Amino acid sequence: MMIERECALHLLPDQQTWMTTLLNTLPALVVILDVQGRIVGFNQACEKVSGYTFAEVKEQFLWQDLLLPEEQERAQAVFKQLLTQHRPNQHQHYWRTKTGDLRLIAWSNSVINQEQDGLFVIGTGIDITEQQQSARALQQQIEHEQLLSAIAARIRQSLDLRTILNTTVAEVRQLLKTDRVLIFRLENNWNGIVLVESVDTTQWPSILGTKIHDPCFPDIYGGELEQIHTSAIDNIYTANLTPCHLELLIQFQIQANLVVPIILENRVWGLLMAHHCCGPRHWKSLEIKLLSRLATQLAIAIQQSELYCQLQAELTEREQVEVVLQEAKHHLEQRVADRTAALREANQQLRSELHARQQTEAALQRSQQRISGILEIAEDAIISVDASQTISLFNQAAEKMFGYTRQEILGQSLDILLPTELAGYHQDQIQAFSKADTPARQMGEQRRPITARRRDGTYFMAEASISKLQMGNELVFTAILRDITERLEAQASLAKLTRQNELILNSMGEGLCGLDQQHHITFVNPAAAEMLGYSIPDLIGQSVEILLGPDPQPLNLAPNSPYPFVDSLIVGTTHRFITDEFQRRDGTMFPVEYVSTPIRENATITGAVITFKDISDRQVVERMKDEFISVVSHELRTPLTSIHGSLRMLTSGLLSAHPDKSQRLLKIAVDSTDRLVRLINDILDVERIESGQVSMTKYPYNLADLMTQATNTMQGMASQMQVKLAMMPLSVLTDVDGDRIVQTLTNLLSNAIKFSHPGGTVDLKAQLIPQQPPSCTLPSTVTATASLSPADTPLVCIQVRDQGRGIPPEKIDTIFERFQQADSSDARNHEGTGLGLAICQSIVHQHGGQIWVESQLGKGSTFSFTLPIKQDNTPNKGKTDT
Amino acid sequence: MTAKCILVVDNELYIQEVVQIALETINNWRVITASSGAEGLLKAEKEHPDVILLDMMMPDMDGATTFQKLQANPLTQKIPVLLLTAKIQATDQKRYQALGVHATISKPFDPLQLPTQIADVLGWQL
Repeated sequence: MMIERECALHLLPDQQTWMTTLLNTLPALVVILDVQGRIVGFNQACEKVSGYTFAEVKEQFLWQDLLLPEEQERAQAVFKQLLTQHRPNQHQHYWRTKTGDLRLIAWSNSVINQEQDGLFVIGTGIDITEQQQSARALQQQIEHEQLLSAIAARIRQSLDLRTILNTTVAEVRQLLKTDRVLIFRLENNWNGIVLVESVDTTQWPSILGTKIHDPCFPDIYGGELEQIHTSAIDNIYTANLTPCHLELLIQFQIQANLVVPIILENRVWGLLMAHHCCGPRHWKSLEIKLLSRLATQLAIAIQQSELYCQLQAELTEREQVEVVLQEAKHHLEQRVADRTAALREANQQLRSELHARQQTEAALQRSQQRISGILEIAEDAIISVDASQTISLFNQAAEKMFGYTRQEILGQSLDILLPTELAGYHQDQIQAFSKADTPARQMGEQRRPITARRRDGTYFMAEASISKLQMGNELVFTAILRDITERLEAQASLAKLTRQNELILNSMGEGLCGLDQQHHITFVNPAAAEMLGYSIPDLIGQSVEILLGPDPQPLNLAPNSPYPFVDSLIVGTTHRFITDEFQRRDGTMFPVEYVSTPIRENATITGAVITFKDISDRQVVERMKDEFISVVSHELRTPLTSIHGSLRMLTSGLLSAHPDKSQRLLKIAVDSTDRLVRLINDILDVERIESGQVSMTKYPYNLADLMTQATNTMQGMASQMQVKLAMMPLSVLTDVDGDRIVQTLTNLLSNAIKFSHPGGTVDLKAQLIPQQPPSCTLPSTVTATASLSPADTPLVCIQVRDQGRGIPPEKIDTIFERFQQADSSDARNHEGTGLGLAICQSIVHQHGGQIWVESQLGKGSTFSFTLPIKQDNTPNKGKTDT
Repeated sequence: MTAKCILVVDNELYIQEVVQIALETINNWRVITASSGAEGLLKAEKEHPDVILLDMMMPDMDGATTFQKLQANPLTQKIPVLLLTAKIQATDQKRYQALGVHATISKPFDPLQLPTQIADVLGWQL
């Protein structure tokens, strides 16, 4: 073993030489790399393929110069994988030769481990560049053959030439990867048109349908077929083209051009063209050959299609001829059949006509009998006249209507039946009608009734229609008349009734509102519209809800509806005097009393009527009445309570041991009785005066005497109340009831004293005031009662003024009403009845005067009244002494 | 039974007197009087009577206003109030019910029955 190893060591340099020689003799490429990828071995095959010597690449990284930059990363990955996995691998990559060519090398790589030198990578490669090119050329050829086969198959399967051509140009453009492919059709005059085209229109213009005239075409394609060749121009600018040809190509942005003629029946049918527009392009022989073969296939397709079209045309022509022949035959047969049928029909018709004639004659006979019957029983008058208006027919109804017998009237002129003054007009109308196209029309202008004349000379209104009938040479006019006298009278009565109803509705003080079943208002009268604040048209058609306030209850709850009129609408009941509130247009509510009544037509309820009235005023009056009764009741009950209470206590015997209390109760009973008597007297007084039961017994009185008498009467009371009475009498004659005027003065003075403070003064004075009207003399702010005096009567004004507490402004307007004191308790405080001023007012009114008050709260009041003075004012006359 | 204290508020002096004599004589009750609503309010607050007999129609302050003021005052709101009134129409009665008074005695009344009427309303034993 030792000897063998020593022999091996001895042989090692020789082995390397031998190895190097061996590697150089190999046709395969062998390259040896150290662990960093640097070239440490590079055989002659490598040098031959790369053009580099071993010395030039020694110690260089393999991927430094030999590999393409884009493949360097992948080659390093393969190298690292080999070192880490220690398993052989294969891969391909290009070498860039020293001259810059690219060679594709298929590598098999492995790792060897030299104990003394470490790891090395050995790559063995084969140059497969030509092999790959051949494969690619073969693939291209296969594609071309497939395209040709596909197009040939389509040509065999389809006769639609345009589809074939369109598909062909599209596929050729895709295969050649060029910018435009088209088929150009050459005409006989060497003009041509682009028949089909495939182009990316987003980059290049379409020239489909473009007509082209190239003066070079006759020279290029007009010669012998053997001289017509395919034209392949790689670059139009270097191809030495004629200027006109170059200009044409530039026009379509063409830079490389491949043109193949399509030969059909020994002539150039058209051209198959491929354009490259984005730059010059080299047309490979395979591509040229492909297009030539395609042109041949297209020529076959075109020929097939033209033959097919020709055949189709011939077939169509033959079919049309057959149709014409078939129609001619059918027409002839039809004529024979028609003729036969016509002859049969004519025969049948002759028989039918004979039968019909017999039937018609019988029917005519029956018809004549029937018409005669109808004429006689008809309620309308039927009158026929001839062209000269001589009456030829006059039925029973006509006899009855006009009062003529048939024997009298037949042969007479129609004028006999018409008002004399209208006879000429009727004749003209009939003449005009005889020339008119219409066979019948209503008589009378605008369909108004006509006037007819009876035998007794009286006229009547009739509705008439007229018709004309040509009977041979004779024209017969027939008029049908209906006496409408009764109808017109009924219409007039109805119109009158309607007017009356309208007048009644319009003049009613109560509101009237009609409703339909849907609660819509169908009619209202003016009173209703006025009360509700609407116009009548505004209310028609509205829902009744607009009357029921802002938030009405639902209307569909019959028979439990809160609104009785819903019962009237649905159940048909009548509801009387319902008190409710209705809403005005402005939203305010007002109290109403209404009656709802159903409207029935033929036992069916078609609506309801609500009759209502505004009871606002009535409610006010009722409130006032209640208040008045309440006050009167109170005024009567108050003294009665004292009287009754006192007497019950006195009669009970409980007070026998209390004489002082008994005495006091007796006084209360007596005083209260007096008060009650006064009150009753006043009530009776004011009622009698106001109702006119008490007549004023008027005599001439000197007013100064009456003023003095009243002052004297009240002096005692004034003194008791520590009030001064100051009188300024006026001597003037008045025609009055002296006692009543004194009563008025004492009432006013009594009031003035009662409401004066101790130490105050009450003035009584009188003065003449100018004349009527009173408004000229009365203060504008005072309350005055109505004047009853004649306008020109002279007046005296009497005034009672106090310095008391005055009357509150809100009481001024009602101070003369009964039980209306300045303070509701004044009657009791001051032993009044609350009727004094009302009595004063009644007395003054009965004298034709007026009474009013002016007052300032806290400062006093002045009561004034006027009396007429006597016209012949002579003093010391009448009852002045009394 | 201790003697009751009755406040009579009425501007009619004669009626005050009749009521006073009746109640003092028959039941020996103590009767105090007021001639106006304002005086009635003062005496009710001061004397705190067992019941108030209140007239409705009075000057200055009517019975309804007086009653409302009594109710508004914590010192007088629990005092029972009976109306003693001559206004007894149906419309008046409705107003009195709405006010919330204990009872209404209408004028003219029987003074001999008055104590019994008051005791019955208020549940007093005579």
